[in-house]
Amino acid sequence: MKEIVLSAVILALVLTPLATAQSEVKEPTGQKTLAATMNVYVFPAEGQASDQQSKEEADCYNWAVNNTGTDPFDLAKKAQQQQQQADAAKEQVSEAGKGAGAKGALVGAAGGALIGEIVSDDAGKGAAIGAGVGAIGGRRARRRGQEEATDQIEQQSAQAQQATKTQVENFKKAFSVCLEAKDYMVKF
Amino acid sequence: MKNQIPIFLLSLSAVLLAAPASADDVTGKDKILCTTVQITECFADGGCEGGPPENWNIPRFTRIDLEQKTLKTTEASGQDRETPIERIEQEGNDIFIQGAEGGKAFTVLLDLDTGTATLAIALEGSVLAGFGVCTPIDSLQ
Repeated sequence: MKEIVLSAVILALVLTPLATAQSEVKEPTGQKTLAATMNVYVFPAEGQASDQQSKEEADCYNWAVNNTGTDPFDLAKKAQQQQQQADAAKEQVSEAGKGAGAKGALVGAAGGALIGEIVSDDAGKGAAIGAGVGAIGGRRARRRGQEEATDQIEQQSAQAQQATKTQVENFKKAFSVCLEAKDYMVKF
Repeated sequence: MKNQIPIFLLSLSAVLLAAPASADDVTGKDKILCTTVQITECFADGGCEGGPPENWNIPRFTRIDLEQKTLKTTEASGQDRETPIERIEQEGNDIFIQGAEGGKAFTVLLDLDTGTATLAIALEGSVLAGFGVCTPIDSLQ
């Protein structure tokens, strides 16, 4: 009988902290913290309250902005604008190419030599053969120029994206250092 | 068995679609009409690009007159273009048609039995290759 009572006491002692711990787990509010919006995960290692964590995240955000000269929210807006500009530029290049194609189709009606008026992908040579055919040579040269322009736009866009990514990474590092100094565990 | 029928039909359509466009026997004919469907241009730096003949100002239809030694566009094309043939040589069932104009040299290899034509045009720094099919013009009248 004594053994049963002892076992019950031990079981109660073991289960009580677990129950207490479970009751301390707060229901998620469904709202993202400032850090979480940047995919930075912050754990209050010293059991800091959520309102304190929010305040300190905001402090660290401002500190990181001042130290890196980067504001991720501004960067996101800027990146979106850059993408829109790149899309618009590519569209413009594409439209310009369509106009050139129409010119080429008209030139087909010109008379003269059959083989001699064949055009290579060389604008200069095309122009030397005759004005009409030069336009076709020009069209092909423009098409190539159009491809190069599109490549250049894409390259610039990729470079801008890479630069933005680096700036965001640097910002996250600064933000994390600040939070770690305030006894938070941080991963991103 | 059920699965095998669609596979067979697919294979059959692939074979039929892959077959070259039919051409005609042009043996003994002086006036021939040829059509070119696709052109490929290869450059000295190794790159190639292909497209419809219009991209190179090459007519879709060309009349070959072996008697008058000319290559001509058709009237219906609205283009009045002509190039003299400098050399015609027959070797078995093949005819080689050669010439040069405006810094470009051309060779057409015409298979008389089948009417298939292979075209090569050498330009400065690039070469154009094309394939066509031909039929005697009198067969169209």
